Amino acid sequence: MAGATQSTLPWYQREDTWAIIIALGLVLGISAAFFGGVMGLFKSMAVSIPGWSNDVSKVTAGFSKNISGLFILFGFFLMAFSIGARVMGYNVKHFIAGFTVLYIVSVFISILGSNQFIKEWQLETPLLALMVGLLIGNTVTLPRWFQAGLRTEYYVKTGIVLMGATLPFTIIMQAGPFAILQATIVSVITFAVIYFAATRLFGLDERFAACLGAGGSICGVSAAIAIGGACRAKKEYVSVAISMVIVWAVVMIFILPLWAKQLAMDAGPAGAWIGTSEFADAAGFAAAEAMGDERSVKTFTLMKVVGRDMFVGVWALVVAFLSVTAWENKSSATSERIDKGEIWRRFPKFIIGFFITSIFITVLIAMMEPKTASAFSKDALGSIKTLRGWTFTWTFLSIGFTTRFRELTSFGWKPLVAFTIGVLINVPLGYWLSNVVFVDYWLNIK
Amino acid sequence: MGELHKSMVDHLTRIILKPVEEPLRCQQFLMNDMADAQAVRCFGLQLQRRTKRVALMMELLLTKGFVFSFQKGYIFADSPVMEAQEAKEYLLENGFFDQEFQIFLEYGRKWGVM
Repeated sequence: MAGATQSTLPWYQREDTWAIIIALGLVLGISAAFFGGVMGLFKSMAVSIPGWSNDVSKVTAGFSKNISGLFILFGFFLMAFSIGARVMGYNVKHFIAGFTVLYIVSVFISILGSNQFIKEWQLETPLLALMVGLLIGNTVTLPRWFQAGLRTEYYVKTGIVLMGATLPFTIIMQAGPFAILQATIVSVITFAVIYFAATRLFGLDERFAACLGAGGSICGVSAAIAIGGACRAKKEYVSVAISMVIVWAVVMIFILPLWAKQLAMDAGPAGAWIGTSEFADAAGFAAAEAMGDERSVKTFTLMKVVGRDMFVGVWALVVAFLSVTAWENKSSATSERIDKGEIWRRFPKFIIGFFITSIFITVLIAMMEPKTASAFSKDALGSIKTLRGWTFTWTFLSIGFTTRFRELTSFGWKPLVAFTIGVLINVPLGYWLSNVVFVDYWLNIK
Repeated sequence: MGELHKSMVDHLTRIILKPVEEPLRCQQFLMNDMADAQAVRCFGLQLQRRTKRVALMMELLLTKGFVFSFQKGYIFADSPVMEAQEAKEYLLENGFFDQEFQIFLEYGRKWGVM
């Protein structure tokens, strides 16, 4: 969602469009290759790093078998992302140089993250990528050409659309209503707590409170931006809300998986908890992946993407209506008219791609013989899952490299305390709902 | 807050103006088989009044650096500088009413914001 005016750009110049094109293209290509019996190229580019302990030769032996895969993987994504980058008007030369370095770093991070010793320290690849990025990004001034390759949103959206292929639509249909119910309970309560703390306890402006509440309850930075726009909040209010989200999102990436493991939570409910209590998509995927279990990533996606992200447009419409009536002391007859198109304008469009890939793969598998379906799941979906893992590694590295704490908007203690009160309600409430109230549903997600 | 704060977003304030309002109060002349001279005259006056108001708003917004475009029957007045609520207050202070315009504000992440 980069740039000032995504919804005023033509569809082909939007980041969401390119995330869908790249990921959907990959899913269609892999499916066609499977049926054509020419999976070799895709299998080769789906490079996964073997686990190792003291003996690096295990890794080098693994690479020597498929060294071309690393180049094909790089070549494919460089080409796909660069075409999108060109149409979207990025500096393509800089993007190519930046992505190349990002890719090389991601290979080294993935090798390190596969080390048994590092894994025992609970430093899975996502956390490692984030830590390395944060360390370098906050101590070294990165060259501009490298910065051009750090496109967190571009990579995470591509990863989420790929995620759709590995999450059967039947599961979305079964668990979706519970995800929506749990997300609604948490979002409404957290939003209300932050809003009332900000306005009643600290006397902050309603629009400021709405941005803080949205950031802490709906879907992080995207919500702060969407709700800030819907209620015409000042730029500084949105910036402060974003800073809050980033600070807490980074803290939660480390804390939530650690707590979930210490509390011996099952992977399903843990992912649902992260989906309920993390603030941003990219940060949430880092935390869910850090659990080291695919079920966490699935339940996280159900909670975050299906339960929370999808409804930001509805929240925007409600807040927009409140802002021109209650907050301006006007009746609906005399207030400015609010267009219902607000729901669609603020809707995160990449979610459409997520649903399309999910439905496509689900229908495809349903039409296959069981034996073929099993082979498809192993070969085609296995490759998609590995490629999805790489897009998330680039995401986590980009988060680390671009999150510069000294560049966050400075904020006073009032918004910080109001937001923190919301966090203190959201986290235990999310745990209770995920691990007690709806635990059976989250345990059933395989 | 103000200057102390580094902005983490860009923005576009869009004021949406509709030169021909719906429903037209004098549109019966379009609906009836019978032509009605009085209704046509009324429609003309209404249209004149409305377009004059829209033109006045455009002149005011022009002084604040807004640029205009026309799409699908709507006039869009865009500014990446003036904030939305400030623009609204400006129009209200100058004698316009809430229902004479619509405001769409879009924020976008600056580079590097998660």
